[in-house]
Parts: sequence; C-alpha cells; structure tokens
Amino acid sequence: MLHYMVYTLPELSLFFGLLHLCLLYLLSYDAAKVYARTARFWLLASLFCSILLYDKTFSPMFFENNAYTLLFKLLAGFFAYIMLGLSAMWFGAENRTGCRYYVLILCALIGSNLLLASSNLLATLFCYGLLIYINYRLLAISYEKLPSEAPTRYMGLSGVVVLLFAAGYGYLHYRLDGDVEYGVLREAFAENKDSFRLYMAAVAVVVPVMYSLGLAPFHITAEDKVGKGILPVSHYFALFLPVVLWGTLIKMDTALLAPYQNEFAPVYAGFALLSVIFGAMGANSRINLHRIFAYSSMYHFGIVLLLLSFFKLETDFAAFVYLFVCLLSLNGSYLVFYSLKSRGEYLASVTSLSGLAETHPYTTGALLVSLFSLIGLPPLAVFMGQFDCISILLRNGYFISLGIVLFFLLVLAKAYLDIMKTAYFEKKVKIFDTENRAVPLYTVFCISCIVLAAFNPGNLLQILKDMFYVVSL
Amino acid sequence: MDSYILLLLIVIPLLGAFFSLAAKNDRADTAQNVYNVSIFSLMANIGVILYVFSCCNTRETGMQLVERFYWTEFPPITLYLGVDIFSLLLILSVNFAFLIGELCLHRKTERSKTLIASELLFISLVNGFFLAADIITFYIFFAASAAPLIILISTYGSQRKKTVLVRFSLYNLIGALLLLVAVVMMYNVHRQNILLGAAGKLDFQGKAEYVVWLGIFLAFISRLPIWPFHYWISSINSSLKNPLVFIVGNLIPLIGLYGFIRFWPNTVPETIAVYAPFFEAVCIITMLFIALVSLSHKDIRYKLFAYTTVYYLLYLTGVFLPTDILKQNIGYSLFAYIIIITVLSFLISHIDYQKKELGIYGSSGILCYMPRTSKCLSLFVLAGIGLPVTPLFWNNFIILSEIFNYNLILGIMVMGALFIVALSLLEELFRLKDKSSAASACVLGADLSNRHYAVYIGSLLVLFFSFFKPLWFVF
Repeated sequence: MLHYMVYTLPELSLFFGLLHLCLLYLLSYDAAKVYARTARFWLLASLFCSILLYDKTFSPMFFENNAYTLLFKLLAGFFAYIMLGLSAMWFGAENRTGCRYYVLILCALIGSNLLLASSNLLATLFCYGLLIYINYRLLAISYEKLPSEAPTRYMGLSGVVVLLFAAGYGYLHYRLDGDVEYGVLREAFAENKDSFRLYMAAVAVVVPVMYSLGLAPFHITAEDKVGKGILPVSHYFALFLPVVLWGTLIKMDTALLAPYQNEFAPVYAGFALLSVIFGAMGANSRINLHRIFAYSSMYHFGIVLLLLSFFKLETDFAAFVYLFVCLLSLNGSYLVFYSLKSRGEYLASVTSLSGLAETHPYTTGALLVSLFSLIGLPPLAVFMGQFDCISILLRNGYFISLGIVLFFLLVLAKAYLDIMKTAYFEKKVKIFDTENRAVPLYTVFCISCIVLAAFNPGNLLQILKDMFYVVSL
Repeated sequence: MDSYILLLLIVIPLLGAFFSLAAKNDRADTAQNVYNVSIFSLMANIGVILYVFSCCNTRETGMQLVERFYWTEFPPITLYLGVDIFSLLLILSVNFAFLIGELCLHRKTERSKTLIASELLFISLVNGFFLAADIITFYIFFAASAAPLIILISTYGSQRKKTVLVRFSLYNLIGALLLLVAVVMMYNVHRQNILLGAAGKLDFQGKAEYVVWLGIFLAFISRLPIWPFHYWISSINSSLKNPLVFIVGNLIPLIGLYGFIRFWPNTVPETIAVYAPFFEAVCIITMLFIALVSLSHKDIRYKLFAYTTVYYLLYLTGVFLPTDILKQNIGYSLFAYIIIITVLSFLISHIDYQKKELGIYGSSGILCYMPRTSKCLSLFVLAGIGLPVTPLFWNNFIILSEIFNYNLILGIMVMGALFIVALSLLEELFRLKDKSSAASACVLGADLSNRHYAVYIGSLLVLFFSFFKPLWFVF
C-alpha cells in the first residue's frame, strides 16, 4: 500500500504546490514573483519524481506510466517552467498576483500528467473533462479586464464535445460490460471492424482531442483560446496544452485506434490538409501576433496529423519530432512577445513591432531565428522535422499532399515575412520599455535550443526515439 | 584521428559572428572591436585555406580531404565535407574579398554589429556551401545562405524596396523548397545520403528524373538574375548602397552558378543535357538585355551590377557547354572577378561618400579631385573588362574560345554583350575623369587614405601574380 502512495509523488508534489500557493494567498503575499517561484519549485519536484518513478503508477487499473509518458511530461514541464517564469513579469507589470493562474496551471499539470498516463477510457474522459474546465477558468482570467463571450462560448462548445466523448465512452462501457481499458477496447475494435456503432464510438473519442488541438474543421474556438487571451494564457494554450493533447492522441492512435487505420487514415489526411490550408490562409488574414501564431500552429499541427495518418510507428515518431521542433520554435516567438512592452502595456498587434529592430536588435534577431526556423530554413530545428516529413510523403506517393503542404508553406512564409518587414522597415511608432533581465536570458536559452536541436546533440534523436517507441509495447 | 580542418573553415567565421554579437553596446570602442574581430577571423580563415591548399594535390580533380560527420540515425544521415582546387579557389576569393571589404569599410557605418555578424555568418555559410560534398550538406548551406542576406537587405536596403524584399525572400524560398524536394527524392532512392558526384548516376523510375533535375535547375536559377527571373535580384542589388552588403548581394548568383558547376558538367544525365542549348539561349538573351540596359542607365552602381551579371552568365554559358575542361578556368577567372568587383564596389562607395561630403550633385569629373582613386578605378575597370594583367583575361579568353568553337553565333552574341558592358563601364569611367567638368585639381582629404590605397594596390598585385601562376600561393 505504501509503495502506491510513493508512486503518487509526481502528482502529490503538484498538489503540495497548490496548498503552498493557497497558504501564500492566505498570508496575503502580493508579489507575482513569489507565486511563480513556488509553482516552479513544485513543478521541478514533480518532474524529478516523474523521472525517478517513470514506470510506476499508483493505479495500474486506470493509468500506466512509461518512458513515453515521461517524454511528454518532460516536454510539457519544460514549457510550463518557462511559462511560469515569464508570466510573473506579466502579472507584475499588471500589478496582479496571478495566484489563480498559478493554481490553475498546477491543476492543469496534474490533469495532464494523468491524461498522458491514462490507459482506461474512463480515466481519459475524466482527465479530459478536468482539463476543459481548467481551460475555461484560464480563459476567464484572460477576459477579466475586457469581458467577452469567448469563455462562455468555449465552455458551451467544449461541453458539447465532452458530451460527445461521454456518449462514445457510454456506448463502449455498455458494449464491453464496463471494461474500457485500452487493450480491451483495441481488441474489441479489431474483432468488430464492421460494426458501425463501434466505429462511431471511436470517432466520438478522437474528435474531442482534435477539437482541443484546434485542428480544422474543429477549429471554432482555436483562435479565441490562443489569439484573444492574455499573454500567459495564450502561451499555455499555444505550447503546453498541445504537447499534452498530442501525446494523448498519438497514444490513442497506437494503443486504441490502430484497427481502424484504413478508415481513419483518409479522414486524418483530409483534416490535416484542411488545417494546413486554413492555418496558412488565416495567418495571412490576421494582424494580431497571437492570432497569427494560432493559425500558424494550425498549419504545423496539420502536418503532424498528416504524418500520423500513416498509422506507422516510424511516421508517428517523425510526427513527434516535427511537433517537438515546431513547438521549440514557437516558444522562441512567444518569448519575444514578452519583450514587446510599451509604457507597461504588452503589445500584440503586428504594427506594434514597427521599428523594433532599431531599439531591440537582439529581440528582433531572436524573432527572426524562430520565424526562419518555422519556415524550415536549415540548419534550424524545424528543418530536421521538415526533411523527414517530405521524405515520408514522397516515399508513400503523397505527391498532391506534398504540393499542398509546400505551397501553403510559402503562403505562411508570407505572413512571417510581413512580420519581419514590419520589425525592420516600418518607422517606430511606440517607445518600447526596457526589458526585464530574465526575458533575454530565457530567449537566448530557447534560441540556442532552436539552433542546437538541429545538430542532434548527444544523439538526442536516438534518446527521444527510444523513449517514444515504448508507446507500441 | 579524424581531421576537422575543413570544418574549421565554417567554424572560425561563425565564432567571429558570435563574438561580434557579444560585444557590449555601451562601449565607445565597440565598433572598432567588432571590426577587429572580423578582420582577425578572416585572416585566420585565409591562413587555414592556404594550409588546406598545401595539403591538397593540385593536379587531382576529385574531392579531397573528405570529412564525415554522423548526423542522425533516424532518418540515417551522414554529412560529408570535401574540397577540390576549384572550390578552394572560390573560398579563398570570397574570404579575401571580404577581408578587402573589412579593411576598406567606412568605420562609421550604422549598426556595425549587425553588419559584421551577418557578414561573418554569410561567409561561414558560403564556405560550408563550397565545402559540401553530399546533397544534404549542399542543400543545408544553399538554403541557409539566404538568411544573412535577408537580414542585411532588411537592415541596409532601401525603404522603398520593402515589398520587393518579401517577394525576393519568397522567391528564394521557392527555389530552396524545390531543391529540398529534389534532394529528398535523391535521398529516397537508397535511403542514404548521396555524394555530389554520384547524383547523376541514380536510377529513377518514370518521370522522377525530370522532376528532380527540374527542381535542381529552378533552384539554382532562383539565385541567378536570368530572364524572366531577373527582376527581384536586380531590384534588390541595385538598391544596396553599403559596399559590403552589395558584395553579399552579388555573391548570391555565385551560389547559383556554383550549384550548376557542381551538378551539371559531369553529373547531369544525357536525357537532361539535351536541353542545354535552350538554357544557353536564355543566358544570351539576358546578357544582351542587361548589357543594353546598363548602357542607357546613368547610375554607376547599376552598371557594376550589370557587369557582374553579364560575367556570371558568361561563366554559366561555359558550364552549359558539352565539355568539362573549362571548370578550372572558370575557377581561376572567378577568383580574379570576385576580387575585382569587391574593389570596384568599394571605390564607387568611396566616390559616392566623397560626393556627399563635398556637396557635389553630379559626379562628372569627380576623379580629378582624387588622383589615387582615379588610378585604382581605372586599373580595376580595365582589369575587369579584359586588360591582360589578371587571370580574368586569359581564362575568359579560353572560355570564349570554347564558346566560339561550340557555336559561332553564340560566341558573337556573348562577345557583343561583353563589349557593350565594357563600353558602359568605360563611358562611366570617362565621365568620372572628365576634366572639363572638374573645378579644381585636387581636394585635400577627399582621396583614398594610405591604408585603402595600399589594400587596393596589394589586391592588384595578388591578381598580377595570379596572371603568371594561378596557384602561386601554394607551397
């Protein structure tokens, strides 16, 4: 019994973090820095415990931890750590403690740990529902200053999606007499491939994850989440959440939906290409940086889904590598947004970048590196993923898909080049505030990651591959 | 023990770029430190290049000193670096050109850190491009070399050209993506990296061969100002006022040309080689067109751009000829040509600067105030158009004779274009030296400084020695 208690340490650490934050709130601490530091400390403690207990779980009936879950937990933790560090500056500038934000992020970390580890559909549904609620609360923080219908709309639509998931779960629960463990479900799918109801139940399970990832045609709230929220919340939706959800989707594909690969593959490919098209077009039609990056993510996520549509472990890993390098580059851009401050106010429109190169040459340089990387310019990180993606598409004869991906990459590049043009060519219209010292430090670190990731340091790809391939065991 | 001497040629300028960026902004001597770092990096690099020359067998034509670098196991990729005398000559000329540039650059240049760091980054990437011995390394450096150019154009380009920049960048990106597709198709044949020399021996199925070679062809064309793709490069290059940025802009066509030289003569399959006359025709049309435009243009910088373009196309025509004996001659000629356009670019910048300082509106007769500048410009213009003091003269003579040998009409048209562009430069030189427009004999302080004068004369001496023995610096 005691050892099961020990196995809860990764989640328990985060829970202690929650209590610690509440205590600080009760003691009336009003510095955002204190809350951020506390949250980061408990996050590190949780990650440390996750590494130590990477293959142990407190409830083997519902959850299963392994190197694969650890991989995604570490990646999510990496982004969460940066996000927590920089959000303190944002809340500090706004004279807010941000306590609620930090509490919600720790809750999201608990939810994501459990979601990634879930090996039972009931656990997946529960954790997914929890994350949806946390997302709603985070969006509510976003609109405290500027009330909007966005959180309500998000909750309404997400509620429908959760109900769809629940319906799928309900049917599977009924059909399999309550045994909804992934392995059992997979066998049931394989044995009853002709059953339309089972197929629809599988669809009902996978659609909510796609919706939360903002993939077309389920991208109704994608722009609201990333594009309209305050910077720390936008950062959460753009980087942290996708890591968790992609980890879940890839696991579902491998452990649950593989029997339906012939049916799902064309649908995935179709959705992927739709995301690529909508993402690139949307990025060009927006003037808000967060929204541009929301659509840009949609384009890149489309490519990840396209690679997943092959339902092979090799291509799944290529999708993961693409996702990894892409999020790394997106993170670089988000860090630059923390430097865009004029008279204490954080800026988000493209025009606010006007003349940035004059006063902030390094910041502009960092933005340039991350944008070049997102285009796939070698030797930056995304090139590594892009090369493998093109190779896979060509090997499998997906010539039209490749043509669409490359053409819309050019369309997306146009949006990025417009940002560069504004930063370098337009005349300065705002006086930018001096940066906090931590922002350049984080930026240099992340830009170094973008540059170094492409060199496969310490045989990084092999390590990632060894961890990733555990998903198929 | 593995040798990493070639890798050093990429790493030294890269380190220089990092040191330049790391220089503190709040120091009065920052700019000077940054320039010193760049000069030191370039001199160190030239030292290493000369050492590499001494390690190579100058009579051997294939890749030498090949270095292998394991990259990833998934997908399996090993990268190769290697050199032959041709690529080493280009590396030396580019590094030497930038060293001349650094020594002669006006120290009050705006945003010197950005300029020097981007320039060193560009040199590092171009060195890597010339050292690439396999298709993936080749692609990596081909695509990456556009990045510092975009940064430099963004920083030093004309405000009016901001929409052109976006189109130019997209145009370059299209070229890079086409090459990427071609490279991946070649890679997929054996699921392993292919050495450059083996690219033409791959066995493709169906029409794949045409797709691959069309991709390669369009990718290299995207870096060359060839009709109908000449607009973006010409409009960008002619707007660059900073001489160092102008040099960077003018080396971009060299990347396209080098691509053709590496892929075309020995590598291209017979099925593709039959289209060479068509490409030659396009080159000739562009040469004549640009030469004629330069004759009517009044801006000397545009004339210099026209001159560089016409000569690049001359070399390209030489590459498309059904012979592979010209490669070494093109290499020797390019060595002199790159140094000549560098010096000319800096002399023109000096004239422009002094024109502004002296408050002169027209530049007619301005060389009368600057005897040293006048001498240097005259010598380099004459060397550029064929004065027999540099390797440009006799190597171009051999290239032209091969063109005449191949097709008389083609030869006449190429000669015609060279003649027009030479006429255009001479006309400009005459205008600048025209005594009737000059008010006085000399203006104190307007002429070249001793250091600049020594650098230019030194460059001329290097070219002069190369005229007698192309590899005189190899011991």
